[in-house]
Amino acid sequence: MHAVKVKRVCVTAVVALSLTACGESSTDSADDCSVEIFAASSLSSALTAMTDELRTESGCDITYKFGSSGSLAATIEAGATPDLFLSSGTTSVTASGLDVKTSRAIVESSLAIITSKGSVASREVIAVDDLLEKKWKLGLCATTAPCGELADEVLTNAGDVLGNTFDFGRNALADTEAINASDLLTKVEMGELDVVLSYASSCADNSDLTCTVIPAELDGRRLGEKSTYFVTPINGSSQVTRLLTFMTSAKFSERLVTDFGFEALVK
Amino acid sequence: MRRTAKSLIAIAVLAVAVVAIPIIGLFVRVPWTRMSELWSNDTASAALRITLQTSLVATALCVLLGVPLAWAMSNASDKVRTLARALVTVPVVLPPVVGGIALLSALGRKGVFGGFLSSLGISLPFTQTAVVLSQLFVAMPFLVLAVESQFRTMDRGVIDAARVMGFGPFRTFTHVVLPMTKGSVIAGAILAWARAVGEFGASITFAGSLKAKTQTLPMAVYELLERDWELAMGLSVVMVIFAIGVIFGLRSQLLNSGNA
Repeated sequence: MHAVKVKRVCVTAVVALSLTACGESSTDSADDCSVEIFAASSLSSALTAMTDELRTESGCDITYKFGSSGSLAATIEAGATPDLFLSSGTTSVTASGLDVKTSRAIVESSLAIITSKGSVASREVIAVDDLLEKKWKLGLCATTAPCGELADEVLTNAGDVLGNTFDFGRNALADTEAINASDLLTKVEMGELDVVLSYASSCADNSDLTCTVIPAELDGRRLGEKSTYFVTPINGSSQVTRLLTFMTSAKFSERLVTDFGFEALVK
Repeated sequence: MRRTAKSLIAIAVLAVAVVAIPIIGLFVRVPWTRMSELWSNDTASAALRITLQTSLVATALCVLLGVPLAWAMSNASDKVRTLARALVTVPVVLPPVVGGIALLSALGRKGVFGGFLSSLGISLPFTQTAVVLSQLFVAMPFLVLAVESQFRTMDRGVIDAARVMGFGPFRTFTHVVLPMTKGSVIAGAILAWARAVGEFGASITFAGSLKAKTQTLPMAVYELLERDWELAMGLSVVMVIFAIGVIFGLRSQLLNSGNA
């Protein structure tokens, strides 16, 4: 009696597993391949919105891992094997152990002063020297993230332009650091930070934020800085090559510029 | 019978390997020749200072708040005690980052109580106070649960005798209960301190991470991992040695309390 019961359970389990397997195969993509993309968090909105196009171009399913280019590079260096790496700047490409000669520039983004739309800070913080006021809760990307490096360059430039009587040091100004650009923006949206320095492209698809691009020059001296985004292939498979061709095409960069607030490369 | 025992031993060895292999890996790969650099590394030394400052304050608060709570719980009715214990245990089973979001929701500038604090000119997020509160949130349950079980199993006849001798409830607690359970309180405090030192998720969410201000050792390890993984490993080894020290400290403490 017991043996019959066990047999019945086994048969039911086998049938259930078979059905599950059938169900899974029916949801698989037609080509049964996938491309894994590691990308800077500042590209997350754009890439997520363009997933269908990327799927069509590559003929494969697309999966993402977003984060600071620095931490993604550390992950690759530690052994992760994505198919493509979209980074802000090439420092992280070098840090990841990939060949920087294979990297191709796509678009750029300027650093901007970002506040919550309609907040007091959005009216009063409109230039870099406004950051000197201690009343603002200011967030910067960590120095390990490209947006943090860029912020440090701009603050150094501001010190040069506005005179050394002002302390534009990171520790003097910032209340906190975030590991990537997206994390900073979340804190502004939550109202925990008044102002952050991050990419101007952040405001294109987020109506809750106000971006004031830091001008490239002030009084004839360098102030604002830009970050260039690169795509680096990690393997030479046909689907990766197809995606690389698409991502370095004018069509792709125009989409990023028109719909997601990035800037075209200066030729 | 013998075969069963051997298979169990094999499983036990596997279980030990699961814990030991990563630690061994860390100790083998760490660049020992660079360990001295940790002392002169700004990030590591500042993080060590912040960690010691905040974790010791958090542990003191754990003892000040947690021991009376444990005593109250041990004297409460079963229903109240069960409810209180469930509530106190929540931070232990909660992912720390959820704890950070909870703290931000309550005490952030736009939080339920944080709005009121902001009107008084008090802003807690991204401060060392926020680090302490995060550590307190995750560490206090360890002390409360350890001490409460000791309070419940202690000889209640001594408390009755103290009452008969004219001791009030507060004096009984401070002059009779605490000296009798000193070992458990210290063990609970060490556990809470160790948890506070290792706190990461709640702190980075509620207090952020800024060098020499709110960045503690686990956050420094996380940051160093991106730019100097060898030093990150070195700092990790320091934390493992600290953890082993805590375990030995607890062991001797528990043995002492057992002998008392």
